Amino acid sequence: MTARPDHRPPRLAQAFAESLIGDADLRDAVVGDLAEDYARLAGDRSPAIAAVWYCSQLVRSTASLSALGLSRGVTPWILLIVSVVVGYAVLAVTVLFTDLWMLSRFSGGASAAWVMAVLSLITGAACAMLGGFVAASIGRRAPIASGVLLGTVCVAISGVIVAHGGDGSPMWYQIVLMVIVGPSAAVGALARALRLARRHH
Amino acid sequence: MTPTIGELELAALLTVARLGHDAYGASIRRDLSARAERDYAVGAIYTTMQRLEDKRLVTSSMSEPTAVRGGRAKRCFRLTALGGRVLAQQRQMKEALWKGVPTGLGAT
Repeated sequence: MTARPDHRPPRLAQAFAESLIGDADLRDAVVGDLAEDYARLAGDRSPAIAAVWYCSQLVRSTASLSALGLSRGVTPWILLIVSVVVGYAVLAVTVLFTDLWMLSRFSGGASAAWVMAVLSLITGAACAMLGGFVAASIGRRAPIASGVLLGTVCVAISGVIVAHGGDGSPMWYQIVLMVIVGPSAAVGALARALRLARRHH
Repeated sequence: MTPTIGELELAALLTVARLGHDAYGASIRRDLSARAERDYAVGAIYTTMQRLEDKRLVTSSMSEPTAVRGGRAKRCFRLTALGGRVLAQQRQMKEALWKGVPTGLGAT
């Protein structure tokens, strides 16, 4: 046993572990356990092997730890649903306003339409990030779960629209939007979760 | 009526009984992993411990933070009286099931 306090897990991986769990006590226990075993493994074998082990533990535990944050009572589940609904509303309203604004700025010509489509994708991703950020703020017990669920809902809605012939915009645009909207919402939620975890720590 | 428990729950409960005052998340995971010869995920351990706590077979409390854990506290687990009774019952049942089975079964 050669656990030493100077053996610290990779910062980004530890930040992700902290962001997974909303409950402060549970987060302390889980992140502390992982740090302790990382230090043992880094001392006994090597920091590289310990880092791989740490990341594999996170990958295998993401779903169960997120669910564990929600398992105590009904309130966290209601908050999860509310967070997704509000996050989606924020996304929809901001997309509507940015698209209306762009329509008023760019008019006429094929090149203008192309530029607008690209700009619309960028602002769409930004709006999805904002939606994920808001969803994670409301669903604090499992912020990542809120963002991932919001992203899944967005992808599902986009998929249904595409399957029914699309909304009139170019098909490539709709497919790219469908691909980027989910991860963007998750990134927004991750940003919020990291801030929450940092504040609690 | 005593609650029913699964394989992993039984293994975790036995580990808590074995470790006594040193039973917390990481020590339970290490002991179980060493005995079962597989690397259990921390999420699986905490989910199992939560189920055991919900069934009132263990209780948990937070300890003081330590430097080796990056200044974080441990979640310590203790076996309850009901947990002890469930373990005794499980042992009795397993021994009853094994009675009459020829020894050396599975030996090559």
